[in-house]
Amino acid sequence: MVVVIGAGATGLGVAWDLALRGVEVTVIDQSGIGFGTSGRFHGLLHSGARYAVTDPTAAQDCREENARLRTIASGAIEDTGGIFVRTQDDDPAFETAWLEGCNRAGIPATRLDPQKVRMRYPEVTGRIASAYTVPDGVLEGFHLMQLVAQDITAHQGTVLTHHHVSAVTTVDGRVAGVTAEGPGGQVHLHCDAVVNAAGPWAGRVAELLGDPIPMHLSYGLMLLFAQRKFPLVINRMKAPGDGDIFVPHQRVTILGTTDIAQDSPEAPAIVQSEVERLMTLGRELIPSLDSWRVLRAFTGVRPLYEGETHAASSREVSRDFKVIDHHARHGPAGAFSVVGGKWTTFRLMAERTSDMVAGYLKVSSPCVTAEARLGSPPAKMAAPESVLCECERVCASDLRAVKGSVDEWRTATWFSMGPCQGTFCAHRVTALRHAVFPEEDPDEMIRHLRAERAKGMIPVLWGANAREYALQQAVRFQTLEEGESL
Amino acid sequence: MTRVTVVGQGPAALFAASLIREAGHECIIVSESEGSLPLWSGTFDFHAPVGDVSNPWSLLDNQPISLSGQEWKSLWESLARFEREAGIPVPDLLPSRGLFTITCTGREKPVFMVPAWQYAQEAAQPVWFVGFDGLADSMAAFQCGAYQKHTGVEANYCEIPKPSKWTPTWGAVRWAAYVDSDGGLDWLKRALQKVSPDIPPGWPVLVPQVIGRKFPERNLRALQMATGHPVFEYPLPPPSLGGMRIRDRWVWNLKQSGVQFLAGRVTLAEPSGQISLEDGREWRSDHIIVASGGILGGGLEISVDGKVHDTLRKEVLGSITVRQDLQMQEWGRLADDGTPRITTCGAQCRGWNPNRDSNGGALILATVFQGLNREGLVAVGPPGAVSERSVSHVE
Repeated sequence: MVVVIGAGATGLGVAWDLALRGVEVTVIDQSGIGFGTSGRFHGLLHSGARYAVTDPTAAQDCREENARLRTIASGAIEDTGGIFVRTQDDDPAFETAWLEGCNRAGIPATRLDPQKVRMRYPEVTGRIASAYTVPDGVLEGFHLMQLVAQDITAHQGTVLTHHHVSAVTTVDGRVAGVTAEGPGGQVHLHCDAVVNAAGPWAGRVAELLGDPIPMHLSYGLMLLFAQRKFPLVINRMKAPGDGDIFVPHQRVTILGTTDIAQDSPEAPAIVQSEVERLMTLGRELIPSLDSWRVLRAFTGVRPLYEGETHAASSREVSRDFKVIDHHARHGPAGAFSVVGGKWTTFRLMAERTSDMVAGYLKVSSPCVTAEARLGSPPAKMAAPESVLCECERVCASDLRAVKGSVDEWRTATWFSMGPCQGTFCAHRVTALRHAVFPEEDPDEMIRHLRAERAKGMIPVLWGANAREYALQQAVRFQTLEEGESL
Repeated sequence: MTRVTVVGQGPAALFAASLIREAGHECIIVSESEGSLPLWSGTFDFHAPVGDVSNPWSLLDNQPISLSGQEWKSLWESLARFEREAGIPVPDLLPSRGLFTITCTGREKPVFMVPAWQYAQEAAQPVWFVGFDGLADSMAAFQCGAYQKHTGVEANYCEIPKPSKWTPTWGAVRWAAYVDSDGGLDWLKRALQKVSPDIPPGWPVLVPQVIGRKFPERNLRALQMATGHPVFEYPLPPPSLGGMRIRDRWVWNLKQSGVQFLAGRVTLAEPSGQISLEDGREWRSDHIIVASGGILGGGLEISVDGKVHDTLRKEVLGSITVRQDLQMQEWGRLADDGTPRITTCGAQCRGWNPNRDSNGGALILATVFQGLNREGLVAVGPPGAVSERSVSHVE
């Protein structure tokens, strides 16, 4: 039995990999599936071109995993393609290095006529020096995590959410169990190995293992705009930096990102000056950016690993992720951590981690996730019922079908995440929630839903979003008589 | 004849137009959209107190703009008179106490002037909530539970199944059209008759505010006859039938009195009285009153750097932060250099939420009063009581 701590992409990936090898596995998370970094990213399925110059190993990993994921989880991936645009302000020498890097990593980059790019996408700056297509894609993170979680369950694995791991017990220097606190009290899980895939919380989990690991946390700010402004990913051709990528994520567009060091694993509050800086950078690629309908801002915390090279890490493994065998350091036997990495390479990270765990458990079956096929969830029935969230077309039956907290209802259905940001549905969903779970406090729930939306809206109060916020305030106070102002 | 152009057609614009017509001036209303009345149930609020305060008039000092008691009384009476003349059923006498209506989430919402179709009470009493299956904002079970929890007063509810014609596209306006039809009213009468034996005697029956757009009084009377109980509506979030009825009747009444309504986007409004529309029409007025609705109405726009722009005059008026109301009364005054600026009223004078503190009605009355006085168009209240000095901002 293996306990995996963290139900983000990496943790689910490890649990899935082990479950497919026939290992009994439980993945445990302090909140819901994907509530950490995995649910807070720009949605890019990397072609690898972004790292072609600065991180060749990551570039190659991305290229391979990109191709694999398209086959494994076609229902959660959109083959949009992407372009790289070098503006007249960007270094031409980088273009040469970039082309070499793409060539070395096997990433197909095809030259485009800058004039045609400008004709086809008139909102892109007129200062295009050169442009190339690359096989970028878009990854629907929550969807893919749900598919993986379903397959874990189908292979006799368990996904235990809303349980906070408080201790890892050892017997004779070997991992023997995990203690967690949940809504129903304390639970003890006996296990032979534990995998720490807690993302930004990995440092804290490693302390429970008695073998601290040095983490370098930084957060990225992203801005979400209504509508799919481009049919493909638009990258700026320069060393990966801030505000240089636009991703069409389903029906919205995401502008990313920034990189600011921080101490806490929690996604931080948003700083106004950072928002303005990201807008300034975004404008260099899209001069009309101010006229776009902004929806909200959000942040995600990157769990980077700051350790010295260790024997346990393979040369083949890209330096942006690490698998650590704590027994080879100061920890107990049967304790492993996986840190760093990219969403795009989650399967590869899981494979490398599971190989190490399987070796420890003397399980000989190989990794089969590269050949696995994750289906699509059943198509929605067109039931004759009223729509609760009109922006995202969510009905009561869609919500009732989701297990978990109101936030899991939200991430599974996207209710309250459209242009009105919950103005017209938060109270309806609260009422439905109360009907299904009468023990939950509805006053607290509506406060929570409103605060969650306000957190993302308030840093971007301009244009139509400012008007929407004024409407939301007025509906809350004028019609619903909801509590105090924010 | 003095000619006045009012920009906007929300409650402040219509109130201004009524006062302008009553003073015998010519009035043109020009608006790009239908105004904010269809967003709300159509109650006008006056810092109605939270908790048991027996006399709202004692709270005059808490108003956003300080006027004398006489001025407030005269303004409220004018508003009530205009509404009654338009056929909107507001009471003859102004309330002497703060009232509460009940929201669709079961909360008590302070209100002041309430049309007869909507439920309002002085203190919490037992009520019977009716939910319509298939109307998303009617959530009777939840509403009833919350009302009991927050007031400690007995209440009960029932859910009425969907009519056979219902489809998932039915919103509040479609429901109201159905109840206005003979078949729809019959359906509702029969459905309520079925549950009426369960309703304790004397309990008011509260139904969602979709009981017709054209004939709410007739429909509610029919339901009262059918059930033997007083039947009232509870307000719903936008789009709101209460406000639509008020807008329909008030606009019709103003049109009958000779007010000209133009649809168009104003691109220029000069202190000289020059008005230009995007489509090329232009004219000159003796006065311009801008009631273009502030941030929510579109009369103000916020840019990425937080600056507040006046969309008519393309001026930057300042900047705004969250929680802050704009203190725009200043904007209506003469600038220091003596350049006359445009007179504004209504939500154009406030920030994110002009209805915060349940004071939207007071905001409208006071700013329209101030604006029309500034233009020398009407004198409301006792002679001598009106001067710019008496209208000061007290936030």
